[in-house]
Amino acid sequence: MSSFSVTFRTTPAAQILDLSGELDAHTAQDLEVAIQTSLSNGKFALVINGANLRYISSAGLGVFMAFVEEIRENGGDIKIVALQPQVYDTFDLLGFPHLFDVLPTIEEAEAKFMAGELRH
Amino acid sequence: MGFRSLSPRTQQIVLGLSAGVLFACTVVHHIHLEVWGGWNVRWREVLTELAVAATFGLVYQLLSDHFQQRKSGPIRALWSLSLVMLGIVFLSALFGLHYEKGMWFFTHKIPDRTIPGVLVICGMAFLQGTGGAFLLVQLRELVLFKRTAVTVRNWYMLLWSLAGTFGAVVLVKLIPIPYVVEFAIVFAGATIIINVFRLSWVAYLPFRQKLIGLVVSLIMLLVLFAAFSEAVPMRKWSFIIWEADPFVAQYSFALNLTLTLTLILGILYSVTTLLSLIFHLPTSGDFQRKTDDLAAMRALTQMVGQVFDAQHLPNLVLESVRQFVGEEQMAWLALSDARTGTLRPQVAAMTGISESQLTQWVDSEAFYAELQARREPLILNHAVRDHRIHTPGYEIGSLAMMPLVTRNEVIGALFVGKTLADGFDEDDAKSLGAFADQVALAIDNARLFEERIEKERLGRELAIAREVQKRLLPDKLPEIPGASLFASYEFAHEVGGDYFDFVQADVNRYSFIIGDVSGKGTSAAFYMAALKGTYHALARSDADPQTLLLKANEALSVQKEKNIFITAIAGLLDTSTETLTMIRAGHSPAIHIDLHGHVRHLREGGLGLGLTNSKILAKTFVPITLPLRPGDVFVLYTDGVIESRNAMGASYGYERLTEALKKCRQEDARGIHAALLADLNRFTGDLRYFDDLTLIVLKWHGKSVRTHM
Repeated sequence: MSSFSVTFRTTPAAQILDLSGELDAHTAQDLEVAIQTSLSNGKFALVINGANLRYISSAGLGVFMAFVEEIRENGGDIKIVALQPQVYDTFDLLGFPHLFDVLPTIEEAEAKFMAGELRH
Repeated sequence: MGFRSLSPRTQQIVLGLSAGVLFACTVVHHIHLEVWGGWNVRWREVLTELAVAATFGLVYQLLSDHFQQRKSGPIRALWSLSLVMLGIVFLSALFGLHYEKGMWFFTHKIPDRTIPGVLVICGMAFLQGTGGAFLLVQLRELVLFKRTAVTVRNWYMLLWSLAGTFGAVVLVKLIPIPYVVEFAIVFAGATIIINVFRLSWVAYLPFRQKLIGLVVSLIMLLVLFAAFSEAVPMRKWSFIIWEADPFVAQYSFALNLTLTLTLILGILYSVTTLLSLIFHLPTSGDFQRKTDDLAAMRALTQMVGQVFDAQHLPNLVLESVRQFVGEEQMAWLALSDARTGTLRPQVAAMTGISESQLTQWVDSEAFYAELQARREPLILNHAVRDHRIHTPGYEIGSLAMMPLVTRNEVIGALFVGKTLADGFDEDDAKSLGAFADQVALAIDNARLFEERIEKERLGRELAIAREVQKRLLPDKLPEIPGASLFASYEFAHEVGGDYFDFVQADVNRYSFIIGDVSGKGTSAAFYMAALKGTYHALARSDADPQTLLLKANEALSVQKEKNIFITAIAGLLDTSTETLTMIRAGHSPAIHIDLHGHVRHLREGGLGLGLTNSKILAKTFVPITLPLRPGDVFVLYTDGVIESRNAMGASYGYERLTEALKKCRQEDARGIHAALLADLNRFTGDLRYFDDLTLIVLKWHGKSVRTHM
């Protein structure tokens, strides 16, 4: 029914997770596994690229909450970038911009990581 | 009706009777000729020879039919052959050795030309002819073991060449053509040589049977040799066997020659059998192991069908592995844990090696990575030299690693180690690879089975959760003077975590809340219950929405899974001041529409509950206070409404909800509610709701008007 996929990219500044499709209660586990894998590999500077993410449900949002504490304790951060308007709206309604760096482009997130700024 | 359509029993009787009658004819011929000195003409002699040929042809057919029906193994065939031939040699010896002096139990020689003499000659000939037929029938079973078109053809060539030799002898009696018989003999010899190398049954015998076969074929060789030297007395031996067994030769010269050839076939076959068995003895271990491999594989395949216990499967697998490689070796099985979602396999079972040895000696991570990439078995025949093996001595000489791949995913790996270097050859790699495929299948099956069980368990849990949820919802809404109110809760096929409640705080003030837990099932129901507890404790005493939400946030933070949060809107309706106060905590914004159709989405507000501590949360809260005017309608809902989809996959969305609301805003709360739900149902069609769906409509009619809800 709903399709979702995550692919990894590693840049000098961060580990980039490109999400595409629909992130809901059924596909949330895929993202969990992906983030867990990044953390196991010692990568704590994560950029979530939502350019191809069409939909996110509250269970999908919960995935970020599940990991953010551990990531920040390890000196890293999750930065969420390039969200489509309707997905941004879901983030915004929940108040996620209060908790996460939600940025327009990957480059801005990378620049922030390079500058050593982990939390905004 | 043909002969073959008769019952086997009748066929046997017919064949036996025909053979008997034909044989009797030949006996009569001999008595008439020898004893009574009857007239002898060439055509009569030829006719008799043809009768002899037919007799033993029929005997061969009779025996062949008989043994076709009850096949025995190759060793049994060798045995019965040896025993029968031994009997014939013994009987021949009783009479034959003393032929010239007479039979040993007669004191004097029986003259040839008497009736008893002729009867003995014919009887012995019959015995030996039948023995030859028996030899052919038994050898056929051996030669045609694992038959192919070519071996069958060669066998029939042999039979025809024997018959041809017989025919050649008869032919030269009619027309003396030189070298016809010699040619026939050479041809028969060639077909004999072709057939004596058909020994495919030898390789399939286990070691013990080969030993037995060796002894039996040796006995057979001796017996046949005795029969041969009896049939062809050495002192009369010459290159071409014109003067042969005195009995049979007197009975029929052609039969004597054919029998001699048959005996030569038997002797040569015994020799090749003997040699082949000797040469195959050392390899029988390998053949045995192949058979054991197959047995282990079959056992595992059965296990795939039977064992659905993922906990015990790894140990059972290693049990089977031991059948492959022997007890003294080591093996371990690593599996990724599907439940925790870690991709790194964990050792699930081991044998012949301890866990601490394993961690010290083997760099499992590196091997997993390689297997993950290769997806093919990896054999280290000099494990000590590999940089990923750190044994203190030569504990692991060779190591075979097989990735377990199912549904295109590597779910683990099977490791088999031997203390010897070069412990695995290509055959081992192949069978272990095939074995690993079966293991992967077995584990996948067991996991699917467990998942299924888990699902059923969850199904029951959901049923309980739904029951709890129903009880958490208000069974009655308050009657608010000047307002109408209607609320509904639609259950989805999975339990969501929607919650709403109304409490009359005091005479003029009515508190309400709507919430949605970000999760489903029992945990969602649990947080709903927690929210309801907090809400009811506070709503009556301190109905201030902000305090209420902050307290709920604190209550939730105590024991909450990190990825769970609750979105909510808390509000307070004051009928005396005609105001509505609301705070939105991450929830889908309430919609306000006034009498004139002006719509406002009340987006002001902050974070959901359970995302952060109350101090930060409080900063994000923006209370909305609205003066109430008659005709004002407020719609509160959970995201199940907005996210409901139609068959095309499109979401219902805010705009459709707003448009529908504009059209029905004149109705009272119940009417508006019904119209909104109807519009939603028109949109989704037959599709069931994916998420729980809560819809609350509150309409302010004005202070003076009393309306029933």
